[in-house]
Amino acid sequence: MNKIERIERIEKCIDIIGGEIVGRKKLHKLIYLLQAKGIDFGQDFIFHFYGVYSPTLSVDLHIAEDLGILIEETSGPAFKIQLKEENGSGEAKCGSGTEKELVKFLADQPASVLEVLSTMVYLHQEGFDGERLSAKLNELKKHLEGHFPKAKELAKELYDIKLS
Amino acid sequence: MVKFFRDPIHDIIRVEEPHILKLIDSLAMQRLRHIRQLGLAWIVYPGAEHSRFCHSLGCYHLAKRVTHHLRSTIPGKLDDEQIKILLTAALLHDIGHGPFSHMFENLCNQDLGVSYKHESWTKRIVLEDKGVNSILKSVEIDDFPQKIVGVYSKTITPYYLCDIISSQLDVDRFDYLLRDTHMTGARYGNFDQEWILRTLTISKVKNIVEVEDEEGNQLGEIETVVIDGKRGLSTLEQHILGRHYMYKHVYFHKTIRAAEAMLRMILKRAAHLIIDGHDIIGNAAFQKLVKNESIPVDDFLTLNDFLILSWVHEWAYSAEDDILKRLSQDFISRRLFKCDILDVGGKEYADKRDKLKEILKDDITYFFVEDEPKDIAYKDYFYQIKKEKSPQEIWFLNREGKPEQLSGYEGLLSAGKNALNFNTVYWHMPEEVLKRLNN
Repeated sequence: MNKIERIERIEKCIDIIGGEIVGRKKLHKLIYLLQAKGIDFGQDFIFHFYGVYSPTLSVDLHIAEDLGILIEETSGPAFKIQLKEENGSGEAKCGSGTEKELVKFLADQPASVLEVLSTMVYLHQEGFDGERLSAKLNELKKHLEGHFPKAKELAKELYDIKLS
Repeated sequence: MVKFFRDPIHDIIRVEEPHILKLIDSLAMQRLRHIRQLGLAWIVYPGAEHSRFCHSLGCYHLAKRVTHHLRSTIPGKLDDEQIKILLTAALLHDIGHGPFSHMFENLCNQDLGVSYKHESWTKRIVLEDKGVNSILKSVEIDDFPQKIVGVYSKTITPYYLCDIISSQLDVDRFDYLLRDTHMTGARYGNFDQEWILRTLTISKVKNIVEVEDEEGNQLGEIETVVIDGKRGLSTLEQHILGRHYMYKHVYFHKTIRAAEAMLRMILKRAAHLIIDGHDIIGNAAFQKLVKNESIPVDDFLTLNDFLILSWVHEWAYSAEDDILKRLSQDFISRRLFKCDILDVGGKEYADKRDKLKEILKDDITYFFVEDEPKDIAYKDYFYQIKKEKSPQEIWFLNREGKPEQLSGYEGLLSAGKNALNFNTVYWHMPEEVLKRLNN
């Protein structure tokens, strides 16, 4: 997948959720979770204290801004990433109905829930399961403990990850 | 037993830990002698023949020095077990690299449609290779192999342990920058390593990346490796600028990239011939790779630079396939692809793309590569920090001892983050095609 194709997919994803998303970090988690469901964005992720993070996505967002596709501005403590008016259709033509529903559903979740959920998916992919996964999640994301129940529910429902 | 290695960067590397000595002698580590640190950079910089093996030893050595420094200056931050984990993780961090390092990842992921990440192979080798895994299991630390993998996955705590092996201030970058600078002879990357090591410390920093509770309070603090800015800021600037210039003039060098693109096309052609049933290579790992079959670790460990170059030489003289023979002959004769550098998007890009398709027709499959600097998993600070609040931020302690982000510091580096063009792509193709394209 080349630069242009990757940026088009990001653009379509943001279009599906109404042309904007608040939180750079939330966008990283969202794309990671969608990739984990098999929707390819061509992005590589690493894990960080802040959860999954993609240096390649970060660069692609800069390029999209330079090309005049997106704008990013501060919105309180976070960043708002939005399509420029001429680029958003308001009704994305890409992806199946199910994919669109998934994108919208995940984007509707709070950033902190996505952070916990993406950490669980990452740990699962790294071979953690059951009690080990629970313990590691607690070790890494204790400061987001209040969001564990919702994230666990989504992990089971969407990614078939079971915890003790 | 103690062993001493003479090293052009660190002078003498002393190894005394029994399990490290055994790991150095393992097949997986010895294989790194046959993988060049800089892929095909020797095509442009004749001295750049150094291997992943010497870089790995260098990382082990620096991990030892950094952990010793941190333990002696901040008591209680590192215990014996953690140090053993870090030294071992530093030594083994590159054992999953394929031939020609990052070139092989581009070949697999972009040309063959096969997912390959050297980090994943490093973890597999630590957990599955009989030689490496049995040595690690003999160390009296519970789940030692898993803990090594945890460093690479960044799932071990405290977080600063991971920082020492992989961050903007890690031993990997410290070693490769000085080593690549020395071996290429391109002196952009020199920095005062002795001083920077002495200014490393550990500090709590704020969670800067958009996490709040319901009341809008920032959540979480990280304990991370930082620079003592009172003493180390100038050296840090020197290090970052050195890295940037090395990316610009060595790692992104268009002729090196063109040579790698050409080798990718040779192997892509070979892969397609194998898929079509031609018996051109006996190597089990490459056969399985191109067919997207699972590769056992033992097979993977047979792959190295020299093996692949031996295939290319053989194909240059005796391949029956014309495309494979022509590309191989051109490669060994150094008649490399030529490179056009342009910006993606816009009319010029689209027009040129159309014209190129018209010139090359079916040959576009093997005689053209669009290549992005991003492909080589660059670690240039400026690429990751164009905006503030990046997780790739570097922190330093200011004169009051408070942590500050380097991206907000109005020093020499403040202009650098705006100096990059992210849109650039390299187009590699035969010289005659490039001439027609630009006529």
